Order: sequence, then structure tokens, then C-alpha cells
Amino acid sequence: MNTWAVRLAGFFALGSTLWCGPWLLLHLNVDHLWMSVPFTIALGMTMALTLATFVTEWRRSAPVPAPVENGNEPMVGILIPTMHEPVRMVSRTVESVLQQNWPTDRMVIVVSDDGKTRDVELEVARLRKMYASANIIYNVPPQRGSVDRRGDAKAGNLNAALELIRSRYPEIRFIETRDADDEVGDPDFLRQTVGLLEKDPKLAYVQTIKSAKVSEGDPFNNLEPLFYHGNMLARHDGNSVFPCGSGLVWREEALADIGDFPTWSLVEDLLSGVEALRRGWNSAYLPIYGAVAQHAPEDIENVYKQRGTWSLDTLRIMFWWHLDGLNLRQRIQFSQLAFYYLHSLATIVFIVVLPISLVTGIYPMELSGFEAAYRFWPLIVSSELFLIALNGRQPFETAWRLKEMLIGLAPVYARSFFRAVIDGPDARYVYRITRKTDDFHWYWTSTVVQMVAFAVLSGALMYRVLNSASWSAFDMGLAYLTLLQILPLAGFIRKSWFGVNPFARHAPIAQPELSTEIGD
Amino acid sequence: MSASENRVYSAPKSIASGFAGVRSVAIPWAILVVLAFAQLIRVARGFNGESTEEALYITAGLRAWEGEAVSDQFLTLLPGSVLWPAISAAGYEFLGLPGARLLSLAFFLVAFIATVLGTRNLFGQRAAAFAAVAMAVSAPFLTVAHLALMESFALAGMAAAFLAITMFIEKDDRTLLLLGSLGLTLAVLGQFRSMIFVVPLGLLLLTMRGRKGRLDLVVLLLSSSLGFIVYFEAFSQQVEIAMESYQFLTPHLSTGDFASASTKRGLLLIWGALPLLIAMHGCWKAAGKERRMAVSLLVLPVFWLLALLLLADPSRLLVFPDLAAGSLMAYPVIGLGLSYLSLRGPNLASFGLAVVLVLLVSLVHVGGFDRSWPDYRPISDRIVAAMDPGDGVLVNEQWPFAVVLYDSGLIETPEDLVDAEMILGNSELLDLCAFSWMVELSEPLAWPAFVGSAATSCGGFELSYATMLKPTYFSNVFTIQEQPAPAELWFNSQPFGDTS
Repeated sequence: MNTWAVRLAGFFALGSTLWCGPWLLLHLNVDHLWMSVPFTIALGMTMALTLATFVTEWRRSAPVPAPVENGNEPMVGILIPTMHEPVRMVSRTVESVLQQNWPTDRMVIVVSDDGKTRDVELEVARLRKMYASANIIYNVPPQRGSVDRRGDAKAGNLNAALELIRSRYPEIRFIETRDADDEVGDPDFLRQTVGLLEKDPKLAYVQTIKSAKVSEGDPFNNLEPLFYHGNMLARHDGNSVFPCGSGLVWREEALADIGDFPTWSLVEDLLSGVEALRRGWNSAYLPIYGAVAQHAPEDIENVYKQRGTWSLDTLRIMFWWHLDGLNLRQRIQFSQLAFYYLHSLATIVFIVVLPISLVTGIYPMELSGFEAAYRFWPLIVSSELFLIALNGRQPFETAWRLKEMLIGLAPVYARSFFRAVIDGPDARYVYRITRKTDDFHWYWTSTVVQMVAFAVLSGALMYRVLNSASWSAFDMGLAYLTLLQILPLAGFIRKSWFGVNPFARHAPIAQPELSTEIGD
Repeated sequence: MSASENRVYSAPKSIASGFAGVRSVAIPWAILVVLAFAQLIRVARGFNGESTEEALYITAGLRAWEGEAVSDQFLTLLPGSVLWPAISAAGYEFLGLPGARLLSLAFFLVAFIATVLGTRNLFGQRAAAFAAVAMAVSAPFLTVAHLALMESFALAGMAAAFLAITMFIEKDDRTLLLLGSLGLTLAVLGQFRSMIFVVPLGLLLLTMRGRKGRLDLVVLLLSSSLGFIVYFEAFSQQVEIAMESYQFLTPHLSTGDFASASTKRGLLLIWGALPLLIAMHGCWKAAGKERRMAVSLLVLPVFWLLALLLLADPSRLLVFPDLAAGSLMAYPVIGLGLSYLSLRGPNLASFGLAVVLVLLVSLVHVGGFDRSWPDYRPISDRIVAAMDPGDGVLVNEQWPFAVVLYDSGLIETPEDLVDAEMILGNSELLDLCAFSWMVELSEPLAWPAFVGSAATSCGGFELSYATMLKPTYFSNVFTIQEQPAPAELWFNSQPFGDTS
């Protein structure tokens, strides 16, 4: 795949890092180490993230399709864990599975209901009647906390469903996991993924694109286009694809090898991938739409919950789990994800340091104007260009939204970091399922931190404008860097009242119209 | 979809038909050829010597190529970066003053083409043709086209940005937006006041791109300002002085004493207000999207003109370059206005007659402006012919002489020429008898009396050459007359002492 733009921008970023990094260290403001040291570390984290991404994105590739021929379809077990998702949602998911281009008699669908809902059970029975040739099983996993259950959260549910499949259909060699709200996107999903698994006996799993029905413009970056249309292709090339829990097909043998779905982490997907790769299995990413979520979180509270879980899990694995067995490239790939979350700390440092510099005139570095221009600014420009290059042919909104989310979620990610470090490897967390409905309010309490940061940055900038006797005292460069924080922060704060229509007469809440945006 | 169907706005059929038999597609290109040819001849004939500003830019550029522009503090004197000075100096190195002016012409032609193409993208082919006609008879544009000032370069950047933005609106490819930002960056680096050009571009994005326009504007602002910010950060001490010493709208070193304040305002009304009336007619007649685009483009030219008219101190107002810089975006709308006027207005013959009349007035004004500064070439040529390297020169108009003598290798730095300010500002007394050459000009560039007395007392100064300079003066907008001013070159046959 053509990655020349990424490479070019990456070399520019690498060059400017080497050009600027050591020089910055030599120009620390030693009179104010309390400011210069954290700032330098933060800048170092930005450089590390850029460079790790450069290395991981060096090559992108996708597997050569090897679809299963008609008539040769093996039996596939499809695990659909559910817990209080709306029945209609679960039903649509099951029907989408049945309606794909795969014989219904060659699939076993297990709707594993942690909610023990009578309605779900009845709906499964209805579907069973409707699709007589299909094997659709309603399963109730063991009670949470019981000795029979392996894993409290979703992993426990999946493991119970897996055991059921093994006991009733021991011939099944491929296991698909699908979230209860994720419909099948590409009708050839199983044909393509299972084909790859059959072709390569060392292949543990195949992940596909997880998409979602989102509001216009995907304000919360649920589609993750940079991840699914760029990053995952690089991870495929580096044999370090992350399982994403849905739109995913496993080789049963690989699952058995890793001891089924891991229960140490909050969500099983990432760790299961690490475990398989550690044991020498291969991974693949197929850029087809394997899952299209009927709902994606679009209120701040739900987004915090979801992204907080992801970040906490990732950081816990990076800090406390054994990574031996992974090769260097795989380690860098996984580290890059950790760097992404850790960068939230750098963001917070920038947000603290900038207003201090604006108000007091104390800088973390002692830079003369000319030297700063040709040393420091290439670093800023190269970082932005690198992001644009990674964005590829996606609309620019994608990259901007990522910036908004990265800066807006910095407190969430930072909290995950501290929890992961302080709570240690033995911490047990209660997993809360991401709500499958939106609850639109103005979540001002959830964005107080961001609003304070916005106010402080804007106030400091205003203070500087009003108190600058000359153009150079104003320091346009610092103002520019401050704006680079303020603008995406403002964009994120705006999301806190997403879906609310202040002009509605009676109901202050408006449901945004769902559009079926599927990736690009 | 054909190219014409793909336009942001396709002109109504009625407008598209217009004058029978006139092929609007060919008009801009025909005008371009004629314009380029006429300006080429104008430059080749050497209509005048270096104006103070041209000379300053070229000298700064020559020093920039030698890496000395910053150490010479040139950045304190420039209302833009060293980009245009460096380019004009390159032209000067090859072909002398015509070389610098030809490069300016090239940039102007880029601006012309980009503006016409941008107009076509927004308002259709016919409006583009009329915009081309309007630009081609506009005295402000005809003036900046052949002067080695910063305006042509800045206009090229602005027009390129405009074209890129119109293409971006049409194609929704943000690479084009970034190209537009690049054009704007170059324009701002070319001349700082071009930064105000972000107004029409921003309004265009906001009105035409709907919700996407806000992010477009952010991208435009952040990306186009970066170049200037980095430049400013790098040279803030000097650039700050330049920015604070110039008026933002009229950043000229020249005094602009070619006309009285009232005459300047008259010229502003002729070349600024009258075209704007046609543009406003276009706004009035247009509807919907077309009107929104027209208004977006017209906001800046209207405010720009008002600001120039209301300037408290019009002494540095050069009228033509200043108008050209701020009114570029009026011309697409003027093109639109003329295309509407052509529907019910005059026939082709009367329209042609009007164009010829405007062109004649324009040529008279351009000719008057082109000779509004003294032509020092007869004097500087004589100095170059007779001067030995290292000879001291006293001249109270530094730049037109500095560029010639420096380029000839007769002085080591432009500062080797001594003017009244340097004499008065020097804490140590200069020994005027040590200088070999002295140029005596009339007011306001005449030497202070004590300089003349000191030179006379040296005993060695002899009149080498005397001439009558004939810069023109606009008595009013219809009367241009010469203002004879004597100039003398004195040679000191027995210099003694130290010039430093």
C-alpha cells in the first residue's frame, strides 16, 4: 500500500525531532525547573508518540482475499453476548448474521444473555422458527461471581457460550464474536474471514472494520477512520492486529491455546490478541465492514465510560501484563497505543504551562527568536503534517475530530493512567456495559475540567493581548500554540450538549437524526 | 459533468448570451497578451529610474543574497519579508532595473490570470471576461504591473489563494484549501498588509461551505498565519520596528508627494469608488448564492476604500499601489456587475467606446504617476563612470544611488552613502572634506545649510554635472504637470581625512 506521504512526513518529523530535541534540552530554563522539566518531558512524549507512529506506520498492507468457495463452508460458531440490550437490537443483529452470504445451516448462533431477559429468549425462539435450518441457541451464562463462571464481565459470558459450542458442536473450528448491537456490514464477512483462517493455519484471528450508525459528521469519532483505514493496516503488516471484540473471527484452537477469553482485563479483546501473538500465532486485519453498530455512544458520559475502559485496559496491559514472546515490532505497535493514551499527560502539561507563560512571561525554555524559529517551529509543523499524512484521503474533519477528542479526553485518559498505576495488577474492576441508548443533556459537570482549561487559556491569552506593549512582547508564537489548544478544546466542550436542542418548546432533548455513515 | 456544469455558479443563460458574437472565453486571454506586450514595452523603454521603494527593495535583496540583510537591519525598513526584495534583486542582477520590473510584471500576470479564473469559477465565463477588461483598464493595476514594488508579488499570492479557494469550494478537496493558505502566506510574507485578505476568503468559505466553512476558516487562519508568525518570531526585533513605523494600509517609504490630499482622494474616488459602484450593481442584481459570494468579496474593498479616503495622514498614500492591494477582490464582482449591465445597457460599440475612454484616462494617470519621482539615472550614471571604489559619497536620497553604486561594486555596503540623517544622527562629527562626491538636490531633499557651507570650506568641491529633474505632480485629477527641480553633482578633487 502506498505510504509515501506518511513516510515523507515521518522523516520530516524524525528530522525535526533530532534537530530540535537535543537543542531544547540544552536550553532549559534552569531557573524554573518546576516548569521546564515537566514541559520537556511532555514534549518528549509528543516526540515519542510521533516517532512510534512513524515506525509502526512505515508499511501498511492488507491480506490477499481468499474467500471460501460456495459449498465448502465449514461450521462456524457465532457468539453474541448480550446484557439488557433492546430486544429489537439483538434481533436485528442475529438476522443480519443469518442473512449474510453463508449457509444458515453452517452456523451456530449462541445468544448468550447475561441479563436473563425473557423477551430475548422469546425473540430467539421466534428467530429459530423463522430460520428453521439455522442453529440458534439461547444461553444463560452462570451467575456473576459464581464458581462456574470464568470471568465476571463480557469475557465470562463469552467463555460460557464457547463452552456450550464446544460441548454441542465439537467439530466447530472457527468462532466469531459479535456484540449484540453489531449488525453484519459486508455480506461476505464470514466467507472472507474464514477463508483467510483456512488458508493460514497459524492465523489466530481475523479482525474487520467495526463501523457504526452515527450522527452526521461523527462528532465523537466513533467510526475511528484513522484507526480502521490506516493504523490497522500497519498493524496487519506488523502482525500485531488488535482484536476489537466484534466483527472478529477466531480459530477455536488459538482460543483454546490462550485459555479462552482472558478474564484479567476489563474487556477481553485486546488481551486475547496479546496472548495469541505471544504464543506465536498470527493475526490479520481485513478491511471489510464486519460489524456495524446500531448504536454508538454520543453523549459525553457514555463516551467517557467507553473510552475510559479502553484506555484503562490498554494501560494496565502495558504496565502489568507479560509481553514476552512479542517481537520488537509487535511491542512497538502495542506501545504506540499506550503512548497515545499517555500523551494525555503531555496535553495537560501544555495546558498548564501555556497560560503560566502567557501571564508571567516565564518560559520553560530560554530561546532566542531566530533560533526558536528554525529549531522549534519545524517540530510543530512536522507534527501537524504527520497527522495530516496519517489522515490520508479522509476528510480533514477526521484529523481535527481526533485532535478534539485527544485534548478533550485527556483528563479521562490521565485518570486511567493513574488508576492503572496506583491500583496495580491485582485490581478488580466492575465492568459497566456501554449504554445502548443516548441520554442527551448538557453534561456540564462532566466537562468542568475542560471548561476551566478553556477559560484559563483564553483568559491568559486575553491578558497577554491587553498587556503587551509591543508586537514582540505579545509573542505571536505562544499565542498560536495556545490557539492550537483552545480551538479543539472548544470543539470538545461543544460536544457536552450534543443532541440538546435549546429551542425545543417542551422537551429540551432532541434525538439527533441517525445517518448510516459507514466509514468513508 | 462538463467543466462548465461543474462551476460553483453557472451564469444564467441571459447573462451567458450577452453581446452577440463576442466569445467571452477568448477575451481574457486576448487581453492578457495585449497587456503583457504593452507592459513589456513600457518596462523595456525604461520610463523612469528607480523609485525610492524599488531601490530599497532591490538593495535589501542584494544584501539578502549575501546573507547581510538582517545584519544591515533591512528588516526594520521593509513592510514585508525579504522574499520580494530577494526576488527583485535576482532580476536586477540579470537585467538591471528592467529585470526587477519584469519579474514584477510576471507576478502581476499571475495575479491577473488567477483572478480571472477564480471569477470564472464563481460567476461564470462572461463575468470573468468583464473582470479581465476592468482590470486591464484600471490605473492601479496598470501601475503596479510594471513597478518593482511589493504589490505585484502580494497580489499574485492573494489571487492564487482566491483561485485555490474557488476551486476548493467547487471540488471539496482540502489540499486546495492548503494551497490557498500557501498563497495567502506568500502574499503576507510579500507584504504584511495582505493579511487582511483573509477577510474575503474567510467570508467566502463561511457563506459557501455551510457548516464545513467554520473548520475551513480555522484551517485557513492557522495554516496561513504560520509563515508570518515564524518569520516574526525569527526576526521580531527588526520586524516589530518596521510594523510600528509604517501605517498598516499605506506602508510606504516614499513620501507620496505627487499630489495634494484632495487630489489623492479624487483619484481614489475615480479608481476606487466608481468601479465599486459597478460591483454593487452586480451585488444588487445577483441573487441567492451568487449574491452571497459577491457580498463576501466586496466587504474588504469597500472598507479598504473608506479607510484610504478617511486616512488622517494621506502623506504616504500612493493611491495606485494602495488601491490595487485592497481592491483586487472587487474585480470579480465588477465583472459580474458589468455582465448584468451588458444585458440591458449599452451595445458593444458604446461599451467599447467607454472602455477606450477609461483606458485613455488610465494611461494618462499611469503615465503621470510613473514620472512622479525624479529620475536620478543621469547623475548616478556619471558617478558610476567616474567614481573609484572606496570614494565617499554624500547624497541625501540614499536608496536610488545605493542600489546602483552597490551593484557596481563601488561601495561596500549601502551604508557607505551618507545622507543628512546620518550626519545629524552621528555622535561624532563627520569630516565632509573626506568625501569625493556630493549630490545636491532641491527641497525636500536639499542638504541642511551647514553641510553646504562645510563642503564649500573644503575648497576642493567642483561642479561636475548639473541637470533639471522633472518629476510630475497631479495638480488635480485632470491636470498633471512637471515640477522642475535642479540637481547638481559635485566632485571633490582633493579629498582629505576619513569618511568613517
